[in-house]
Amino acid sequence: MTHKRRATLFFIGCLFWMFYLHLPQAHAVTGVNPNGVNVRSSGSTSVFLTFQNLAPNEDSQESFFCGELIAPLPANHVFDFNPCNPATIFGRPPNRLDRSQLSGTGGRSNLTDIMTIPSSVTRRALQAAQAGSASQFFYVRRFSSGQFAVVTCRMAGGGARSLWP
Amino acid sequence: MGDAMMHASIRPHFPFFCLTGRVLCAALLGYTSPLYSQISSADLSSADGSYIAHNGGFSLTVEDSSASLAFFIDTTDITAFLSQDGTQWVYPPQAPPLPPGQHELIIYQTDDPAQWQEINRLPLNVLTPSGFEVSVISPTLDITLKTQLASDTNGDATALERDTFQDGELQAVFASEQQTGTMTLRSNINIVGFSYRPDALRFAEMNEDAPKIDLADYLVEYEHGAASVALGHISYGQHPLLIDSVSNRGLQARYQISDELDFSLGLMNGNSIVGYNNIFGLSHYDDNRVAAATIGVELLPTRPGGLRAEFTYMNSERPSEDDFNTGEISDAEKNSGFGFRLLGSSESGRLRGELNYAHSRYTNPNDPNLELDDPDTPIVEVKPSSDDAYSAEISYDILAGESMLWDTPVTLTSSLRYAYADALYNSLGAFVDANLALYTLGLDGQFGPVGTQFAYTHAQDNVDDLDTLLTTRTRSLTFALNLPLQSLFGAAEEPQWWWPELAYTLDRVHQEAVNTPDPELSGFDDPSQLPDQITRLDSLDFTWYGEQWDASYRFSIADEDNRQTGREQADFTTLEHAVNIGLRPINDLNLTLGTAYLRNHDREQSLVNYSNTYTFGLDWTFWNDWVFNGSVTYIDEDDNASLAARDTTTLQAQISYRFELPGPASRKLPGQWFLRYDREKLNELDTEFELDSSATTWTISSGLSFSFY
Repeated sequence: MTHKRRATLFFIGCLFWMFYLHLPQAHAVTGVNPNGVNVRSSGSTSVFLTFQNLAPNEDSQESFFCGELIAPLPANHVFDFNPCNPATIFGRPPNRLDRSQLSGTGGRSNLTDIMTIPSSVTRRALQAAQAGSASQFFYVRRFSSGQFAVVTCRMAGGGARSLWP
Repeated sequence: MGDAMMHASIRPHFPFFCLTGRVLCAALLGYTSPLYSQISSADLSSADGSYIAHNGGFSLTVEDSSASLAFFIDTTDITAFLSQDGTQWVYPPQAPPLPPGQHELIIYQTDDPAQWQEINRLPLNVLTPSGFEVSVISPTLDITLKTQLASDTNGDATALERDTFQDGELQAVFASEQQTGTMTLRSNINIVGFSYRPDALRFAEMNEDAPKIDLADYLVEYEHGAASVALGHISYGQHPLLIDSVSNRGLQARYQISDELDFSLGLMNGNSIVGYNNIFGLSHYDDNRVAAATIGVELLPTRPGGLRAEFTYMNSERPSEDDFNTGEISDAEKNSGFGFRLLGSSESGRLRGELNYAHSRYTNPNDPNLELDDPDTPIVEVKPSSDDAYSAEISYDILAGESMLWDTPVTLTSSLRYAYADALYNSLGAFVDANLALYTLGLDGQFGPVGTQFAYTHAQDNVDDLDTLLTTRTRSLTFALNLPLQSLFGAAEEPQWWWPELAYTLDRVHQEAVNTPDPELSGFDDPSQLPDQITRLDSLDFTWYGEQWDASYRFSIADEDNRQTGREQADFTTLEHAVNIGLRPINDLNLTLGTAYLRNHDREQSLVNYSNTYTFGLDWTFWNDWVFNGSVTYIDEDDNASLAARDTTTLQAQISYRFELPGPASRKLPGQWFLRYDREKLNELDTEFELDSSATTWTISSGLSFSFY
């Protein structure tokens, strides 16, 4: 095999790997906006969210709440594994409250979602905070690509920048 | 029986046992047996409105047997049916039945045919054939036929669910009241029906299984002396922290044990429901209920309401189900608790106060709706917790109508309220802001026609002072002033239209974080996430009134001032001008004209949005029962950066005719027919999202409605 042929094969291989590596990046959810919100410390809260850049065949799966991420993961990121501490699952929003639907403009595919936090979930979080744990908790939505998008819920008393109940 | 001819002079009142000249004493009515009523003049003093049977007849004694008399029940002459035996006059059971209800028996002396003289007027109360003093049955039936004759959509308009349709609707109400002695029975049943199933009452809950004709609500109430029972859609509870006017289907009972002591009980479904299923609301009592009982004590028996204490116990549970026709975020809940309430007032009524305390044990039972797809994933359990809430309120009339300057009556009332609820306080029977301590100071005043209100509220959450939890303080101030200048400066006998009624309102709210929670444990890792915001709304309203017109002008400024670090420029100011004019040039014609200008300034984006609205409306009874009404609205919206623009035109025109059809028993059955045209056109341009849209929707519809009974 000549040097030129090896170089050509190497170039094609690089193109292939670049293309291969690029696929999961372009064809999976890349983020959520906003990725952190203030929520009420008692009662229920609803927040409008947009999960961005879904792949054409990427479906939204279940969503759920948890009290902690597996340390030391950063919040407000997209992970390719479930980042939640399994001992701190607060539950999922009831199916009847699922208002998520596909959207998007300019060739982008998004998922708009109304995150609804039942008051029983808030109560679990506040009881955890009273017991000495963190007051923040997390909303996690799983996608068919295996990605998990995370939103931080900062518990506030219901003042300014808290979202509507 | 024929109608009486009142051709005699009638004395308005004949004194009891007052006998002059021809002395007559008539008495009536002591009901002694269903078949015969024996009345003597002596019974008149005890005429207490007792009821007699409608077919039992009656008698009365007239001491002067030689007098010529005429007898009327209200305006109906019954003299021909009475027979005289000495001093006794008898209306026999064989005579036509007496009319049920409350009447008067009027006795005239007719010795002078040209001038009858009323000599007595006595109560005649007759039972219904079924034996009730009052028996009223009021059924109503409304039927509406709705037709969409034609419709169309153009451009980007969303297609209508149905292009044309013919639907029917009905509403049937059955109301009744029966009363005898101290017993009263009332009922009210409301049934609705829709031919188009998606309109059915329980379609959201049952979809295609929803019945087209369904029970909307009902209430049956029974009262007997000091006791009462109600079944159906009841409302129970007066404790603002534990159970406060909860309105669901169930059972309610009350009993006045003595003048000082009363007891009440409420048992009802935990959710608001409709329909024929679970007819009493207690079918799922084990896991879906609100049960409460209250004992009330009047501590000042000589002055009821002066000082009253109430003790309430409640036990409730409900599954994670929504109330009927209500969008809500419901949970499985279980709760029991008790509450104490003390309220009273001074003898003059100027000082009033109320004290409330509640203790509640609350938890969220396991809810299958919260389980993840993997059923083996454990969910953190909610721990049952016992929490307290209390509130105190006192108000005092500093001035209670005293005359001040220019003999103007002045009232001034001050009030102070404090409320507190533990962080986890919750009750199924009341909406309480938990995790909050709140003070409110209020002043209400009235100086002649000038009224003013002032209130200041200070609230702070995170009552446990958890270091990891954001603490927010909210201070709000409201002020309102009403100046009816026409009353102040105009002449009462000759109103001067140019003096307006003036109203000014101010609302100011400042919300701010008062701590900085640990970012690692709270998520607040940026100063911009800690709230510090002032919102203020000033509005000024002028209203003028003339004989055939009215006009109003509104000016308001709303300002949102963000002060948190990094968000100082995220401010908004909204300015509004609005003018409305109403004209009534002739009796049957009403015209309305309006225009509004709105300017919203986003300082951070340097973006100004404008909105102009123009409206015209007309309501004209152009021929007897024929009415035409219509309206046109045009809204034009754009911004200073030409990022987006939108204009909306809405047109509605309707002609209607009211009529009456002959019904049973000479009754008139009202009805209405209408023909309506609706059109909406929307043009929208958005350069950011490259959107250029135009949508038009129009419909022609008609309807016919009848009311039976």
